[in-house]
Amino acid sequence: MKELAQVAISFALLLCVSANAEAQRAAPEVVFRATVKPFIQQHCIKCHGEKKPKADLSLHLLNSQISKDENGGIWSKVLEQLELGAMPPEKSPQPAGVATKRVMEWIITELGHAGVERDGDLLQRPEFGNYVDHTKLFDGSQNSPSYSLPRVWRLRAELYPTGTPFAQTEYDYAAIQSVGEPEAMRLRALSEEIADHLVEFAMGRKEPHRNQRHNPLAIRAFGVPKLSDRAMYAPNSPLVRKNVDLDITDLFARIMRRPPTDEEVKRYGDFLEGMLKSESDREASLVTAIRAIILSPESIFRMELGMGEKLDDGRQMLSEQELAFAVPMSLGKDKPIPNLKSRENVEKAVRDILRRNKSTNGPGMTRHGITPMYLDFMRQYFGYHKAPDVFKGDRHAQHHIKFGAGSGARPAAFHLVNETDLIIVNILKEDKDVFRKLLTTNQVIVTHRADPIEYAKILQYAKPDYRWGHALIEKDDREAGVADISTKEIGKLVGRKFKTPAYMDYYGFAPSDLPFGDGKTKNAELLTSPVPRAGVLTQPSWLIAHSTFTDNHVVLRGKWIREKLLGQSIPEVPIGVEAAIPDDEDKPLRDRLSQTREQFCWRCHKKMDPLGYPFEIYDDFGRYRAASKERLINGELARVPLDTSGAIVDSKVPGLDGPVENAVELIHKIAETEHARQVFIRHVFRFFMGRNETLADSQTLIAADRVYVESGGSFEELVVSILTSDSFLYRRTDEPNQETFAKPKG
Amino acid sequence: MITRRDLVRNAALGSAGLALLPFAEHMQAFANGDAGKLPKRFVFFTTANGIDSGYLLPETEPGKDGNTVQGLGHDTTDVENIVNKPLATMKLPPWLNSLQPFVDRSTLITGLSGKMCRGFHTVSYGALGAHPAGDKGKPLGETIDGALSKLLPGIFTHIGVSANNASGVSAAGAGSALPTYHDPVEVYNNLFGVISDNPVAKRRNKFDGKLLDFMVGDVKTFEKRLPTNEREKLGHYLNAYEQMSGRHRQLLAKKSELIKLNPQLPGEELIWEDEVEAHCELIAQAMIAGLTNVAAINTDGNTANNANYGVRSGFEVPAGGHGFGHSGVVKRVKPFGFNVSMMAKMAQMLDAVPEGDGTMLDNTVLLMVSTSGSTHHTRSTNFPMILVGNVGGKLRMGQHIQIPGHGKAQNRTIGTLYTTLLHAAGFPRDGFGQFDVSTPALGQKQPLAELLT
Repeated sequence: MKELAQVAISFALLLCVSANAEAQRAAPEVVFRATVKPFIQQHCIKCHGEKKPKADLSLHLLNSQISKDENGGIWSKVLEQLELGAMPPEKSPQPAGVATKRVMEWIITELGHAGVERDGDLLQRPEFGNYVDHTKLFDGSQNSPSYSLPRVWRLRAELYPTGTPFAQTEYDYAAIQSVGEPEAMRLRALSEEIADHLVEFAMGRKEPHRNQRHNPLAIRAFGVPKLSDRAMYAPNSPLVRKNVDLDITDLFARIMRRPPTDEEVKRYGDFLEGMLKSESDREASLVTAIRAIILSPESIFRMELGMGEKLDDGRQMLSEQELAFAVPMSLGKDKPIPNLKSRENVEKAVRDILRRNKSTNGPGMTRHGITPMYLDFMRQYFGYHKAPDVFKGDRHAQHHIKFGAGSGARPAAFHLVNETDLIIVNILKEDKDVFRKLLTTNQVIVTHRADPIEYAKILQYAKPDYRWGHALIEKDDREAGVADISTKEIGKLVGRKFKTPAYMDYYGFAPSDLPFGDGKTKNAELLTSPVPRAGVLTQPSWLIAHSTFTDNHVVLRGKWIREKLLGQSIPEVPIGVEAAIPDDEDKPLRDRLSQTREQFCWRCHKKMDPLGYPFEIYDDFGRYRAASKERLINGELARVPLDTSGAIVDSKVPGLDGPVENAVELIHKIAETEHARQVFIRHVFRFFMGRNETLADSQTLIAADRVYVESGGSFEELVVSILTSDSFLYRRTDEPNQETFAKPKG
Repeated sequence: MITRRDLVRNAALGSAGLALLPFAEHMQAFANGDAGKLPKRFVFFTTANGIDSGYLLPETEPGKDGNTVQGLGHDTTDVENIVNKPLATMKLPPWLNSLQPFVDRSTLITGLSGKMCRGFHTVSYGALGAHPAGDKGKPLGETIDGALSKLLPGIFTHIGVSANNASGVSAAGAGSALPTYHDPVEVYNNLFGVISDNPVAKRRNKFDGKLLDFMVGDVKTFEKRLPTNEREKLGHYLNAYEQMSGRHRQLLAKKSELIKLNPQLPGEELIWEDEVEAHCELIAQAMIAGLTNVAAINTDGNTANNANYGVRSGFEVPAGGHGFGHSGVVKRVKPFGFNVSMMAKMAQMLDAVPEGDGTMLDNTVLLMVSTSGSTHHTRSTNFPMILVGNVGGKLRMGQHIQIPGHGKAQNRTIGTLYTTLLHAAGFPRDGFGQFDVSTPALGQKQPLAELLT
């Protein structure tokens, strides 16, 4: 608690904030005539005029009056196109940046005034991250110091020490996380549960178990509250305000992890005292006061407003209080860190957390000896962890393993994901040349727990339609004495030892390839792949996650490479397009996708399909099949040749475009480029900052890239660089001439 | 052993008319002589795995071998013009039998397209929203129940329930999903907790009001201190408390009426069918009690683990559950039939309560649609629907309507249907949701003439 007292520069400082409630609104008509109308005349009307307007959208009648019912939708559409830089089209003369900005500002203000609902700024959403000009981000032309906008950021679901009140979302972006009624309802129920536990223990009716695991989450997180006078909470006992305040102080500090200010003690104290006076059920009053603390916005949002020192250039650093939470939370920890006053302090704290994570031997992912957030990032970036979500039905019967999600034994897909986790962990632990190794390693990790003799025995008798949970050997065979293995024996093998060896088929190993263990210990072997592989994108988990029920998903794979390696954007599937690959085993995949080569589709598909075809060297379970494929022809199984060639087109990276033979060649080519590395750095930035990068982050990104290269490709140095960057530490408001945040006094 | 189901069946169905009498009187007085003032209510049922258009073909009969079913999987959209026939002259297939008592107040529609939803396993918010499903689990616009709930507010603007832990399907607007309850006990506690004898519920009744009021003040103070660009986030949070707080007060005020209604506390850990049934009963009772005018019941999730699926009705679900969606139209008709029977049950409960010159059902529309259109892997070209009830006679019920398929000149979209509901409710709009640019716009802006009187 002493530590916490030191962090107690309080959030009461927030009171000093002089908010900029209504941005000054110029007369809409004046700005419209001077700026907006000429812009539209010059850049839009040619295609979107009165006659034969393109996309059935005409703008010639737009006037300065934005109304929700009449033209709000059209104005929103115009704004969206400007935000995305999608219009005017590339070939037309481009408006000046300043002019576009002014027009956009006018539309935003007027839309807001007309009450038109907008789902935030599109560019703040994860799927629009790549819209920022890559060249400008890295060419050094943006030389103003970096900063973020002041923000509140809903806590990550797992940062709740007392259970998760929110659904986990794929992207933890400050801009898209909100707490509305659905979440508030869950919080309300959760707060009751927590407060009940705290009061039960505080009253001494329950004693904490010395093994933490047996205690309720609330007690594990907050400990047992110390009440100044338990008897005060019995009906009709004398009330002492001083004791009420003491109890509030103790409870507040436990839950908020910082001491309350005087104002806060008074506010919660008044609330509690009021209830104690009017209600006979005093314990319920205490429960209610605790719930109020748990539900306070500060328990739910991270505060990153920038309440520290103000610089001459208008930026304000995060205050000590803000950093106490922002730093650990960025690395998935919930315990505040005191005394963070400078960049050096922050760097030390970040490195401390990372070092401690390495030595942690606790449960969950930390046993790998890397920061759990690293793996969270990798999963989000690559998406291989979605393999179990891809429905494969019973197609997997021949592998003797239940494949996807469901009841019964842990299905294969989860093991494959775990094995990819492990290969990534291996690369992160070495922490050298991380990005290139992630993309190109030809090593794989196979986990197993079996010995070869038992494995061979099982393979001999396993029936093709065998799945976990079903009898291994047909009853008939057993009764006829065909199988010399008893049900009990099978059960033992299946249950205890035969957990994983079949998965090595995915990697192309034969049973004899594995250095088998004793059948008891679980082994994770780092092996050189017997077939061509190039990093995570050729791991079975990634290939499955980017496949369909029956086949490889050429488009999804191509899209991934285009967005995550080349840093470009693919528009959403246009309306009216059936985005499904037709199921037809007899036709080559390329033929089934022929539709996409029609002119209208090809504009986008040329950016995806040629990047996806090279992965045809693997089947949709990630098994290597080189350049031919098994297919039933007239009832006979035959191998038919496959075309695995593809191409990189329109990469805008010098020397990169050109044909490729297969996935391994494709990946190696891209992995060597500076461009792909920088795109990777942009993604790391987004994950740890919880937002898309803007041009203002250019200096941060350039520095991060330099640190990464100079450290020999260390992921850790990259993360430290981002978490100590100006973008992380400083806040500035974009609103011109507005002193949004007053300098803290005292 | 008497199960909860038996109990409720006796309490709510057998003697429904009697038990609900006080409300009936109340409503009759309320409506006295002025039909225009009668409430308008809407309940949306969403189901998983598609509603095959063949399910809604009246002449469809089980095949002789008991396995195949004639008409199932049949394409009903192969017509050039909208075809409508009176339902009363047709023979309903067995899975629609439960609708027989309401045949003059039901309408079956096939062929409405929803291409703007895209989607595959589920179009989630798109099914009731006529807009793209959104791939980040976030609604991209308001859904029809969200829109109606704003126009027809009650103590609960909207009640959303979802069985099998499936996610919600309703949204008040872009990015703003409506709350969804799962556990029937939770539904009960939220709707009828004020009359509960349970000590926890009693304490809640006493203290939640204080807590919620305090929170409204707390969040407001906090919000004021934030820079403008971040205020909206706190605004959502504040709004949540204001809603909850206001509701709490209104429920307390209605306590004595709710006691007369005597809703039953559902059991714990129910199997799927019991869960859906409990949801339907509670929603019906909430409507009878006048707590809400708009509700959405999601009966099952498409990718949910349906391990407990079908225990009562005895349909075979493969281990793990997921495969069920792939088991074909013949097998899938069983859960569909169950869902229809639940819809019929709710209709029956509402029909037992007199209102104006008729019953509550005459002022309530129940609508069923699947979040995956007409099949497990939807291409969003066909969203067959069932409607039961009416809006004070504004809808032409008792029909079977076949809409020409997607791409044909006379095709209509789910947006058309929702526009029709808005017209019937007295809030006409020119279309609902996003327009499908690949289909003629005119049909999407106007209500469905065949359905609106």
